[in-house]
Amino acid sequence: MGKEKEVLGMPQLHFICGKGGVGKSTYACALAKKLTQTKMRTLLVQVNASDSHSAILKTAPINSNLEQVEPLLWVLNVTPKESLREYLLLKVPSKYLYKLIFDSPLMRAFFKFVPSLAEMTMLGKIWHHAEEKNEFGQPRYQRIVVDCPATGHGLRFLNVAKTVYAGVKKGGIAKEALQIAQTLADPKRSGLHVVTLPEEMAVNETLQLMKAVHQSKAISLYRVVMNALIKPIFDEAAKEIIEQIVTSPLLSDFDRLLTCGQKRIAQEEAEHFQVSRIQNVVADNINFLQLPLHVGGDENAIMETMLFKLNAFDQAKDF
Amino acid sequence: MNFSDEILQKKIVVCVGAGGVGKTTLSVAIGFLAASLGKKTLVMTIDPAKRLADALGIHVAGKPVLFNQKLDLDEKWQPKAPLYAMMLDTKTAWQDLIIRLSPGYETRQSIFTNRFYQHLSEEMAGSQEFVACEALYTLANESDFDLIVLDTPPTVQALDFLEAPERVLSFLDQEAFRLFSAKGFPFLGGTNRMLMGMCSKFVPVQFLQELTEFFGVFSELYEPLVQRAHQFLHLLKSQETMFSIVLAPRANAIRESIELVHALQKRKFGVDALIVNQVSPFVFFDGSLSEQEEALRSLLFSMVLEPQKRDQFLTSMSTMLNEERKRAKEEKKLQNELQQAVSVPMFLQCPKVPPALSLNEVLQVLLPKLVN
Repeated sequence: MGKEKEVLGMPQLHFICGKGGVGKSTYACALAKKLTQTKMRTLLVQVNASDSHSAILKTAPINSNLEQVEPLLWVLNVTPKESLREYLLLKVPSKYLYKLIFDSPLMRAFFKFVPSLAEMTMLGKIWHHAEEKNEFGQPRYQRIVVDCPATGHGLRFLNVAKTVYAGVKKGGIAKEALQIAQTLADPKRSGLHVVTLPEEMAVNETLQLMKAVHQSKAISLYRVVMNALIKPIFDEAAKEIIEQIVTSPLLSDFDRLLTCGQKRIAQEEAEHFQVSRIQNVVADNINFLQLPLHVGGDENAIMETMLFKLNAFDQAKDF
Repeated sequence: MNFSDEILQKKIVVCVGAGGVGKTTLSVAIGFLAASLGKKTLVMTIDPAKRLADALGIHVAGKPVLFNQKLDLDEKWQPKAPLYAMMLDTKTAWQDLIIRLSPGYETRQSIFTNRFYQHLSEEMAGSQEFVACEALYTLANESDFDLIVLDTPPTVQALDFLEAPERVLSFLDQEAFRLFSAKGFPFLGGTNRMLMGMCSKFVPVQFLQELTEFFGVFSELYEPLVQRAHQFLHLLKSQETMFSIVLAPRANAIRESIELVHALQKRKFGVDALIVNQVSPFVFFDGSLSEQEEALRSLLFSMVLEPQKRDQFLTSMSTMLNEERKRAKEEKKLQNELQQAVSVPMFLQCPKVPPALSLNEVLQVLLPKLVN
C-alpha cells in the first residue's frame, strides 16, 4: 500500500527555496511533518544554516549529526566541513592520507576559494542519503526535505552539480556530479518548492528564481507557496460603504476604524495583485498553495497550523 | 532622548535589520526627517522596491540623485536642505575599491574577469556589506553631506552586517596568500606539491591558474583591505554614528533583535534606537473600540443602505476589528518583552503602512511617529 502511494505521490527529494524571512523553514518543517503523517520515513535537512528547525519542531539543537527525532522523522544540518570529512573517509583509503588532506592549510584554502566545492560536498551528502537503502533494500529515507539557502545561493546550490560536471568532465567526481545532476533534473525524483510573500520585492525575486530555474533545467518546479496572506474580508459593497462614510460630514470619532478598513482594503488589493503575478506564470501542472497570515502563537504553533492547511490542500488536490 | 535631537548630532545613521521589515522605507523617512531639520542628507540603499526607487528618482545605480519633487507635507516636514538618494551597485563599488587600492592598470583588467574575484565581489556572503561600508566611508570623508543614512543590505540575520568585514578578511587569509602567491606556487614543497598534484587531477589547469592569479593580485591588496576594514569599524564605532535597529513586531524578529542588541553592545557599538515597524494601528489607540463600533453602527443605520449590504459590512468590520485586537494584544506583549530584555536609549514605534501608499502618504504617516 505504502509502495503504491510512493509511485503515485511526490518525488523523493524536495528542495525548499525562497528569500530569507518568508517562512521557508516553517514550511519545510510543516512539509516534513506532513510526509511523516503519510507514513513516509522522512529526512529534514538544513544547509549550513544557523539552526532554526529545532525551535520550530521543539527538538534539541540540530547539528551535523543525523538524528532521529520522531519514529519517522530524521533531522540534519549539513556543513561543508563535516560533508568533506565524510566524503574523504569514504574515498581515501588510508587514515594517514585522509588526515594529511583534511588538515592541510592548502586544502582549507582551496575549499574556501572554490565555493562550489563546499556546496558540492553538501549536495553530495544529501544525495548519498537519498541513495541509501535499509536492510530490506528499500530507500532508508523515502522523502528528503531540503531547506535551501536563501534564493541567490539557493539557486547556485541547485545548479552546483551541473556546474561541477561542466567544469570537470572526467573522472570519479565528474561521474558523481552527473548522477546528482540527473537526480535533481528528474521530476520523478526531485521537485522544487518556492516560498514567497505577497509583497512586491518577494514576488520579484520569486519570478526571477522561477525563470532562472526554468532556463537552467537543473530541477523542476513542483510548487509555489504564497505565505502569510491576509484573509479577504471586504467585498465590493463594503468598499463602497466605506468610501461613502469617509466622505460623510458626520465622520468624527470613529475615523480611525474607517481608516483601518480602508487600509485593510488597500492591503487586500495589493496582496491580490501579487498573487495574480504568480498565477500568471505558474503552469497547470505546478500547484500553487496559498497560506494565511498568522497572528500570535510561537513558531511551533504556526508550523502546526501550516501543516493543517497543507493536509487540506493536498486532499483537495486529490493526491 | 529625542530622535530629532540625536540626528542633529550625528553624521551617519545605519539602519540594520532583517529583510522585509520596511528598513528601506524607514531609512528614507529618516532621511527626510534630517532634511527637514536642515541637514544636507544622503540616503544610501542597495535594492529598493521599484515604487520607492521611482518615487526617489533613482534609476541608475552608483551616484547620488537629488530629490527635487514638491511634497504635499506640513511646512514642518518640508526639506530645508537638499536630500539625495543613491542606489549602491555592488559590482561597480568593488571595482572602484580595487582601482583605488591597486597600483597598476594591467593587474586590474585581468582581475575583473577572474572567477575567484567574481565570487568574492558578487556572491560571497558579506561582500555587499563590505562595499556598502566602503561606499559609506568614502562618502563620509570625501563629500559634504551633513548626514548619510545607510540602509544595510537585507540579511537573514542582521548581525551579518557587522561581521562582513571580518568575513571578507578571513576569506583573504594570509596563510592562503603565502601558499598560492605567484612566487610560492611552483615551489610548493612536499605534502603541498603532492596535494596540488591531486587537485589538478580533479580540476582543470585553467582553474588553478586563475586561483594563482587571484592570489597574485590580492596579495598586494591584502594589507590595504585590512586597513580599510579597520577604518570602517572605527567609523561605525565612533560617536558620530548612530545605529538604528529596525524590526517587525513578530516573535522571531523580537528574539533576533534582542540577540542583535546584545551582540552589538558587546562589540562596543552604540545602539541608539530600536524602531518597531509595521505595528498594528490599534496599538496606538487608547480609546474604547466598542464605543467606536457602536457609533459606527448607529451611523450606518442612519444612512440609506440595503440592509443586506449593511449587515455584511458590519460583519466585515467586526472580523477586522477582532483580528486587529488580537494582533495589537500580541504586539504589545512582544514589545514589552523587548523593552525588558534590552537597554536602548530610544524606543520608537511606526505603524504598518499599506504597500499601495505613495511616498508622500508614507512620509505623512511616518515622520510624526519618528519624533514622537
